[in-house]
Amino acid sequence: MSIIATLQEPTTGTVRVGGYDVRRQKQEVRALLGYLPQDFGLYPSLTVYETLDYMGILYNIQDPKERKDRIEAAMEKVNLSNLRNRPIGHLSGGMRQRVGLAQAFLNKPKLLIVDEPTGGLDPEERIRVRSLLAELGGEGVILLSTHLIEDVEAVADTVTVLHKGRVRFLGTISGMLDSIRNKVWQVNLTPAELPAFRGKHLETGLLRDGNNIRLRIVAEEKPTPTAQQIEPTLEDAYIQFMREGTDEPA
Amino acid sequence: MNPPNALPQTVRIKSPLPFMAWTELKMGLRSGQFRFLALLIFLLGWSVGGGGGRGVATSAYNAGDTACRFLGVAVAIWISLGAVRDTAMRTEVIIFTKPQPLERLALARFLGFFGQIVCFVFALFLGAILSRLSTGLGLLGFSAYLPQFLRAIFTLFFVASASYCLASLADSVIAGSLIALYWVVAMSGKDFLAKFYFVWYSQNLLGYTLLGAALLCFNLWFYRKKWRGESKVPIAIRLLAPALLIGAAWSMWAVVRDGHDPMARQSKALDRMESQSIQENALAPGFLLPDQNGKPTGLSHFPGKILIIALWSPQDPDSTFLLSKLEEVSKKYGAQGVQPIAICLSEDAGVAKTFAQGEAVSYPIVYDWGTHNASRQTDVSPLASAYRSSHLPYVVVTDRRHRVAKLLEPPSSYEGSTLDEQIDKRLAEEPE
Repeated sequence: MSIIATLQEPTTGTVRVGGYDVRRQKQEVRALLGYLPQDFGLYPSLTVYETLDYMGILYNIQDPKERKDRIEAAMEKVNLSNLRNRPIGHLSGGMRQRVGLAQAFLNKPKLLIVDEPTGGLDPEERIRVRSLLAELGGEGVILLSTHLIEDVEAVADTVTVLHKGRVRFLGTISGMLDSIRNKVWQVNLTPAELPAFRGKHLETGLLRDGNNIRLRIVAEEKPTPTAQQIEPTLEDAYIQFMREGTDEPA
Repeated sequence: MNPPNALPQTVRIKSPLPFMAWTELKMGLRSGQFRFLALLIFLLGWSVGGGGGRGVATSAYNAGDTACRFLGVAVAIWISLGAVRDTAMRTEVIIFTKPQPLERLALARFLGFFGQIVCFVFALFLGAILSRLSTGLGLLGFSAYLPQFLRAIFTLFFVASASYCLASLADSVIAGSLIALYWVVAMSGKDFLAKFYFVWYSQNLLGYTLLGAALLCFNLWFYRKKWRGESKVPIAIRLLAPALLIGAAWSMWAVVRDGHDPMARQSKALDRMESQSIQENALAPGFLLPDQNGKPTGLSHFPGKILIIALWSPQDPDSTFLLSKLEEVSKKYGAQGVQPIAICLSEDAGVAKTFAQGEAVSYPIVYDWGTHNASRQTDVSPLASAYRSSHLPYVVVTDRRHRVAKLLEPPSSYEGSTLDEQIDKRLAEEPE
């Protein structure tokens, strides 16, 4: 993410954004980007409007009317219009995250990079940010990095699973689900049977159901005669890809 | 994919630098730390600015000197904190991924922070002026605040640019604070250092301002170089940086070359001046020194006049009373051929002008540029040595042929009627 955002040099290989090399043509790449880092700060003494106004200037949006219109639209989109005069230092974490997102798409970027945008947010804010990303997806390319599968399910058209720097999967969400279709099983066990069963298959979930335990596993073959085949989720597929890459060197 | 031909985001209409700098300044002015520090500085100005005297000279000089000496330490630390702020606050990952040249971002931040420094100096001088007003002494010679204000601004510009350069290139507050350490060493080691090490002396300001500007340019040149890619630093910066450095070196050398300082380089003219010795009924030791307007002034410029030669130092609070006394003498006896000449013993070349303005005097105040660093100026000025003045302010009354008639030590040099009696006595013996 940092390499694409021009903050870090690639040790090998080349990255191009809009045809521009991120190593050599950083300014040109930056003009095409919107970037919301995972860990970022904003100036606490500036208000929401002033922050976006400053970012607008940094994006070279010099026409005051155009800048104002874009800021108004961005604030509307992230639902912060009523907090326009509140200093950033007085906002909650979720609100700050929304300001961060607003500044990232203020320049109508060709590529919007968002790195773990919902990390640390309460469920309500997480849903709000996720919905916003889904909405923005219609306006340009969004590169979303996340460890939260729900984010991917809600937003992504194309998914890349990276593990130890290698691409484990590249394709659509349905393609990702198809990759483990007919391999996900639910096994009902008693607590006494569980220790003997564990470790034999890739587990992707465990649920208590009264005195019994429902174990969700990924396996090529039906693991027990009573196992039921169930619909795969992205989480199942993600864990399967991670497992496949565990033994390989980075 | 081919690069797009035209990107609206990269169209440059006009430089956004002023807006960026203003935003940086605005952020600083709103911070609680800034306001607290500004209040302390205002109180500092109040405490040093109530100096007595007919005019505001002492108030202005004390405000300027305090700003240069004590704000220097605070400014070095303040600017260093500012230089690494974006790293500490994690705002740089947002700011530096915007399509702005890095040198513009760095310069805007510097200008914003330097604007805060100007506000600090303003607060100090405001405190000094209000303090002076509160004493009920009035603001005669108000324009004397201006040169001292400018002296403080240029001094702190050097502090700010040097600290900013060190802190931002090393990305460390400690690196920038080395300038604060230098300041402390310079203040405490005054007796052992040559005059050109002292940024805040008026004669050194040009050299150090150029050096500060050169450091700023080098900083803009090399700041976050790895984030620059292939985009070039503007040619103006690459040319200015070495040119300013050469200019600074030349200016500093000129100060040493034309100065008199046992720690650096001594002037033969000042050595000759020092070799004289005052004796009653003999000619007063001669000199040719620049007055408050820069005009060389000596005894020979006042043929046939009874001279009142007064040696004083700005560090001596009683000196302003002497300057007031000399103004009275000038008005009362000027028409009868009595001419006061004040000799300012200070390492700083700008002091004579400040006191001449601040006390609104009509007689020449010459600057003894041979005065060098020491706790007591009378110990180290060639002219003070020739006049054997052990205590300041010190007055010599001559006859019309400039032979020494009377030596007056404090307090009789400025208090009471002793000086008037001596002048009356001379006028009785040598009427015009």
